[in-house]
Amino acid sequence: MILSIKNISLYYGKAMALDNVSIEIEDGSVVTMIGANGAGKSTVLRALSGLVKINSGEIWFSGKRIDGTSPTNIVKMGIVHVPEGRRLFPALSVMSNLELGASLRKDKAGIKKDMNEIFEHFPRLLERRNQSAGTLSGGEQQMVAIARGLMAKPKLLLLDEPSLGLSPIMVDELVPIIKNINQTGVSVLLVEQNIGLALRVATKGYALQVGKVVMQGDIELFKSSDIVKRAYLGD
Amino acid sequence: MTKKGFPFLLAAIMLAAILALTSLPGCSSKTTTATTTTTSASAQPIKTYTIGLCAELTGFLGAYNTATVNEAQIAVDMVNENGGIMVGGQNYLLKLVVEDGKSTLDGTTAAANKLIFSDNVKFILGPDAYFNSAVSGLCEQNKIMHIGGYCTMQPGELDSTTTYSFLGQGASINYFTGVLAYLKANYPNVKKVALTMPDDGSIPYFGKAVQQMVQDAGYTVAGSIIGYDNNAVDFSPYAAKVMATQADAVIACSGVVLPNGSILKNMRDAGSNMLFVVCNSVIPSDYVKVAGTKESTGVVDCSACYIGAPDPSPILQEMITRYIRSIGGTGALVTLEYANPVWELAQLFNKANSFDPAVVKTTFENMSSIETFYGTGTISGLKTFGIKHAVSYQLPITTIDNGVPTFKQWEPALVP
Amino acid sequence: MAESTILLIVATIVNALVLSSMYILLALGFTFLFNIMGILNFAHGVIYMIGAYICFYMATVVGINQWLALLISVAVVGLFGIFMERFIFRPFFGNINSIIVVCIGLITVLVNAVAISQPYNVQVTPAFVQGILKVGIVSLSWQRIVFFLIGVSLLILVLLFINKTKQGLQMRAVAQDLEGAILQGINVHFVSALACVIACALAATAGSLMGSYLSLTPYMGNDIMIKVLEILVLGGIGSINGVLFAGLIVGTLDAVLPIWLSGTATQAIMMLIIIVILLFKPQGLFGKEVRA
Ligand SMILES: Nc1ncnc2c1ncn2[C@@H]1O[C@H](COP(=O)(O)OP(=O)(O)OP(=O)(O)O)[C@@H](O)[C@H]1O
Ligand SMILES: [Mg+2]
Repeated sequence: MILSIKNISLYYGKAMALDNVSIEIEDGSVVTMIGANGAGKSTVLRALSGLVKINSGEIWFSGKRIDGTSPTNIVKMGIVHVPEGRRLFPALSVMSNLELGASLRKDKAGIKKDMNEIFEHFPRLLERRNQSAGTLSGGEQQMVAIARGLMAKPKLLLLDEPSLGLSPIMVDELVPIIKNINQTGVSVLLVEQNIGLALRVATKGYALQVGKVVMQGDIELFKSSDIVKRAYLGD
Repeated sequence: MTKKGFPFLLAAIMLAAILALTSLPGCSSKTTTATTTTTSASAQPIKTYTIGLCAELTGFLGAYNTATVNEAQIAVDMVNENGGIMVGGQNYLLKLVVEDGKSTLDGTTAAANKLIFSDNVKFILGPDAYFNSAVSGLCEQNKIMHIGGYCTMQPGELDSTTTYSFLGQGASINYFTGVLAYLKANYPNVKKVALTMPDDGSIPYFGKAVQQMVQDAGYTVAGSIIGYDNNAVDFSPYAAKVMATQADAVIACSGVVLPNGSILKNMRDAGSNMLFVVCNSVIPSDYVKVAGTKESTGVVDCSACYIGAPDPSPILQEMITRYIRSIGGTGALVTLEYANPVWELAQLFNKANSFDPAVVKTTFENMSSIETFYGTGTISGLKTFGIKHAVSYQLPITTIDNGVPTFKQWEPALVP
Repeated sequence: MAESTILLIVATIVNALVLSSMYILLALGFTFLFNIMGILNFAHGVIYMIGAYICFYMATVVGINQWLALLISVAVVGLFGIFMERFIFRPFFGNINSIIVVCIGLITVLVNAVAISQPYNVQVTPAFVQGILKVGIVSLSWQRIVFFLIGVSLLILVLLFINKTKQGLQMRAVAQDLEGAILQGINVHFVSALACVIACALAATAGSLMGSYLSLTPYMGNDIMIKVLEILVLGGIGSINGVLFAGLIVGTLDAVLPIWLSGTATQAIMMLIIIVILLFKPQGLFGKEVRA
């Protein structure tokens, strides 16, 4: 297991956001977490990257306990969170955004190489490398967000609703992107409401409902689940 | 959640600190009771009689007035330790209640109201600068006798309508009688002078009067009076304006130490050695603090600030000794602009034998001279103010060169 | 042209440049703190004042060389910046009311501490640079020219730092999206502390120089803060270009207006000019939409 979340609970003030949630991710796999608005998906990711503190439970990453670790150290250890809404630096160029993804890296040559590789994979970003990120289209911004995350050389990439606001064609483009990332050895935790995308890339899934894991297991289980079909696929 | 306590704690400490600091002496009015308290031990009980002092303890005049109020308190102590005053066969000690006008007209009006209606005094000394216009009218209405510390000659400060107001120190306009005489005798090459003055509303009145005096003394005034903003961050533009007049001397006609010292400094920094004449109430050594040692040169100062004439009168010597003992310093006095009115009022009480302002005021009007810390003062002012209500006395002339102030001479300075 | 006019014009140009550069150093630091920590540091003026007094104290009471005194002041006040970030801004992060209360507290405590401890209300730091530059009839103080050059050099250094270094890039990132920056592993506390150090060091430099160019009073910080706020409102709060441009405008007006106007009218006209500009550009000259 690269990541084990053990029975975590989290409160925002008095309101419970996560109730005894446990999630496991095998090294090199793509796991998806689905759930309705407000289910607590983003909260799980925020707890993982140290943006919020859990109230109980444990988080283990590569054999180390990481709850309570600072966001900086979590990135250093290899967990990189591509947040919901992208959170790019809008007035900075695409290049600068990518550079900032590599904030904690010291290997100048490696950074340069990775940046070139990314531009190979995302030729659209190469064209727009000097354009300020805020002026890109939604799809392009999502690419920058993912690419910025990759610049940190993650072992585990947390993607929070990358399909948000994208056209169906753009969502289709995400499938090979995520698969390629995974093929380079990066484990992925994909939070999605777009169940189609989730089912296409993940091998294992978790469903969250008001802060609780209500369903978990092999992705095939989700594909055949009536609940999932009713809730997300509209039939 | 546990962190919540810390900000509150810090805020509470800050608040406590603010409260502690603002309640330090000098920041608020001193408490007072209206009149009599008796000392039980002595055979004949001595009563106290409270007089008011309206001063600018905070704001741009704050530092200066804090010093002049200290002088006034010393004068009160001197009166009391010499046996106080005698009115109607009863011995009284004087008590001074001070209210802060905050260096604004509104604040000074409020302070004067407080003195009259809450402290219930019948005699008000002060204030300074152009703030007398906030006090004279109130005193006239309420028949309170008022001895101001300065006059900028604006309507309502001291004129034929202010029959209860006096000017108790030889200040403002009569500086010029002194300094022009001194310039004539010692700087014959000076022909053209520039004039500077704070633009506090007094230029059309005080400025006009000064300009007339300077011209009457045979000098050419370069351009018009250079008015400055007391609250300017940078006074260099005014210095540039003075230098551009290419006059032989500049006379700083009033104002506090910061603007005048800054203009002097800026002029010297830019290489101008124009004679710098000051006619305001600043301890000469304070210019050195503002302008710097090297820059404080070529300065002639005629003010009521005293820095060590060889032969001080006994009461002046007493004042200096007490000032050094209780406040510190080197024996330089600020202007005695509140201390002289205290000294005068004590004499008036004895002479009038009354605490009725109307009686005391008439006594004052009928006198031709009165004792002051700077020698015998003359009561005059009919030509200048339209009312014979001003005391003038000899003033010390000091020069400053290379940061060293030197007492030169006493200069008679009668206000016509 | 009359001799006196030439004298006036040259002196005014120099005054405008020096004043503008000092105003900009201060307003820039204030903007840094606003952009990076979302803090309106109203205590910036007293930090400037403290910087001035430390330099003054070192140069006159201790009696060391003025330039050394300047460096000590910058170092001490810079360290105070770290303290401020850790114990004032960090605990109150995001709590605007508390920050304002704390700033007012800081102003009151420091101003009164200086006012009580200083024997004279107004003092001056001895000149850093002696001598006068004479060109024909015009004579200028070398000190002024040197101060202007220092101001401009520092400005260029700071702008290079923000625009060309990794730390500078991280600062801009934090300013644009705090959470986005945290997620890149950027140590926001370090960046904030760095911003505080730079802002405080710039304020201390301006204060130390102004202590010799103008004079020192415990209230000098309040006066200059009004200038800084004028610049921020005019330039658009948070905009560095706005600071540069508005700083030049305000500094120039401060040097030029007193030449024609006497005294108190200056401030009124200054306000009028600012209000008129804001009528046309309510967000300031370079203002952006305010972040939510
Ligand atoms: N900072 C916060 N303070 C208080 N409550 C919060 C905060 N952030 C999230 N919540 C609440 O926690 C619950 C879970 O929110 P979260 O953002 O994790 O949901 P989500 O599953 O990501 O939803 P979505 O699909 O809409 O992004 C919601 O009820 C939300 O209102
Ligand atoms: Mg979410």
